[in-house]
Amino acid sequence: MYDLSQLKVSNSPHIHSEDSTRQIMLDVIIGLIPALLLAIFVFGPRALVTVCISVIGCVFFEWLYNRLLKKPQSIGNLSAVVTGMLLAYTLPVTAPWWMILIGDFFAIVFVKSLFGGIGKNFMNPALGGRAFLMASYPVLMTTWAKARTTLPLFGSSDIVTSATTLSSLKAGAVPTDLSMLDALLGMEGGCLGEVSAAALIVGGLWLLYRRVISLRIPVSFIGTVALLTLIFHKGDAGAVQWMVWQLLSGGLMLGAIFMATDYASSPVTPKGQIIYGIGCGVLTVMIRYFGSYPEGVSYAILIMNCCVFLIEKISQPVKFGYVKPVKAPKAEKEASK
Amino acid sequence: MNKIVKLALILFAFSAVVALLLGMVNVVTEGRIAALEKEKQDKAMQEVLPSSGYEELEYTGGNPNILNVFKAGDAGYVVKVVESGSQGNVEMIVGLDSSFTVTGVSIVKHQETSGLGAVAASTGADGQAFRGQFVGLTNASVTKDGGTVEAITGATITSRAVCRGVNDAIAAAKTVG
Amino acid sequence: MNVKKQFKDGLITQNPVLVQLLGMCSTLAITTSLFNGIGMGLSVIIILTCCNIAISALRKVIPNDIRIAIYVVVIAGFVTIVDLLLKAFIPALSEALGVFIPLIVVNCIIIGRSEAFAAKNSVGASALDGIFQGLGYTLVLVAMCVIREFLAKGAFGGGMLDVANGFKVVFDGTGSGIQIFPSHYGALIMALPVGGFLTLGCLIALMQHLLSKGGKKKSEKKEAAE
Repeated sequence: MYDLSQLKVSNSPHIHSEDSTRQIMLDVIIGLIPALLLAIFVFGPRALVTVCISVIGCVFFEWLYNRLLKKPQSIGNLSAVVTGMLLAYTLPVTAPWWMILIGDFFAIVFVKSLFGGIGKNFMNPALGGRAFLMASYPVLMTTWAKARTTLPLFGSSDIVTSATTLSSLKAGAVPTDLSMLDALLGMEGGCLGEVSAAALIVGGLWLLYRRVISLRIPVSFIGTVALLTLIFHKGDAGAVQWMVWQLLSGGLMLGAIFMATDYASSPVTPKGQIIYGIGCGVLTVMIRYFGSYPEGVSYAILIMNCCVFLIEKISQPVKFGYVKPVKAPKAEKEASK
Repeated sequence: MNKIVKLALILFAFSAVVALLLGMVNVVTEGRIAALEKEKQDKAMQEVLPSSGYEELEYTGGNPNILNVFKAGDAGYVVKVVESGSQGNVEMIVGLDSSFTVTGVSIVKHQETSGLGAVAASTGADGQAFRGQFVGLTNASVTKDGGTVEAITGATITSRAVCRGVNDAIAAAKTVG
Repeated sequence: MNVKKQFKDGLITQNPVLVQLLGMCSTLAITTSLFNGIGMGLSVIIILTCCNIAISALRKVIPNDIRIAIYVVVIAGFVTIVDLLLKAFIPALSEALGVFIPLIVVNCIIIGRSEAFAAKNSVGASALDGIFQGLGYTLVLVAMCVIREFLAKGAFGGGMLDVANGFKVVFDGTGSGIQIFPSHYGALIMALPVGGFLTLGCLIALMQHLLSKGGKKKSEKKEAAE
């Protein structure tokens, strides 16, 4: 893929890392499985069908693109599988198969491959695909099936729809027909993979344990949302309750743990990662409070994705042993003139 | 100084020739454009509330969005009203029967996005379905705002403008009737 | 006068939209149906050709210091004439294109060609330049219209082809077009300005790819000949 002859090998010692793209992606897939299991429990086997279609679609489009443009085949690194899973997680479980495939196509070909493939995309492919679908099929993207009802494996007949927790939060009141435990476990309407905060946190802990992600982005992201919703709470349910509902509902956990931490589209500098997380949090709350959509996580992350190069520019770490140059005193300067 | 005067005169000459040409074209087209607009307005008025004649009433309600109010015999009122849409002004004609219930809406002039907001004025099935929703209403608002009017996909602002226009028209007709 | 080269320049190698990147605003805004695309393209061809002829004919009279001001006066004159004529004779098109006809005044293609070509060349060459550059613009508009209309609504020729009343071409914007797949499968985003950017970006990329490929072939041929 790269011309290694251009690289100069430095003197030993050489440290070898066991990490490979494939291993990291495998860890992410494992981290995503608890949420999938819960989705299957909440929405029935239809959830598994939706995820499978999306994964197969992503892998197929990546294979096709590489094949047609005679590029080295990259489906083996499993990144397309992760994109497929994440995209499916941000869709309603009832999304029709053709719509999923259109989202896959846009995510893989337009957002990822056209910019040079894995590691060179400046936006999260799954979220790019979701944004495309959201703008294209607003009705299908906001038809939420009620939790624990039987759904047909294909098609869209007899769907009992329900409002999401977020739409009631948008109206300024905490939901009354759900308990907080429901929201934690995922017994609510919403996107396939976002409903259960608990399963996503379990997956996040696995990624932390495997050191695939660091705490910086998720904590600064979620922390900012928590702080802002605590200060500017609405409704008459009390500040803390309002905040917890805001944290548990919508795609916040999914976005903060699995999407904002995407290597290619988040900053590499530690300070930058914290700025990025705070930015995501502020934008999420702004969109949830003032935007016309009830949910803001996906757009917040996409907007911050576009700002990453600026964040990296201002957050470059100081070189070891580097001393800031002392500014020449004014008097001396004038004298030298 | 001499040069500046010369340049100014040349520019003046060019402008004068162009203005003359424009004047000539305007003479040819002016009548036709006015006739077309009149025809369009008459057609729109017939569409929203058929009547043998329309008599313009004086409107003193003070709402600057109301352009004209007509009395359509005993059938009711026709109000021409302008609202700001998403790209510019949306001019529409609203027909009301004598009990101030909407009998029809027609968009006569607009600058909305082709394919989205412009659907409100389209002669196709989608546009007719959108405008048809207003018939029989006495107060219009889109479903997002708790009303009954299904907004045009991707053009909530335009849909809201039409709703506002209908409500303004009803209010205006009540003041003269 | 090299007619062949001018033709190729206008349509391909110096295409106003895809290579010179002029006239983006109208390109992104109005390319949602074939009717709009062809109407806008024809308006620009007429205005561009008239302006080129006028400016080329007067190029010896126009003082260099105030040439831009004079170009703008001439262009604004022609645009207003076309706008009035459209309003009087093809009201449907004038409504569909709305503010974009008056905005041709500030369309960079016109002033760009006036300054870059008509001010230095003979009347005949300038007239041809106007026609060919306008054709290049129209071609891109039509391509974008076809792509966007197909992806957004699954249709072809909206406003122009009347299928319901027998297969015929109409010029009053009432044709329903050919429905290729049901419109609810269409991606609404393609009708939005975002879709315009996506389509234009892809077309520009494709054009650059083809141009660089063609250039390579030519230089290879040259080398071989030597």
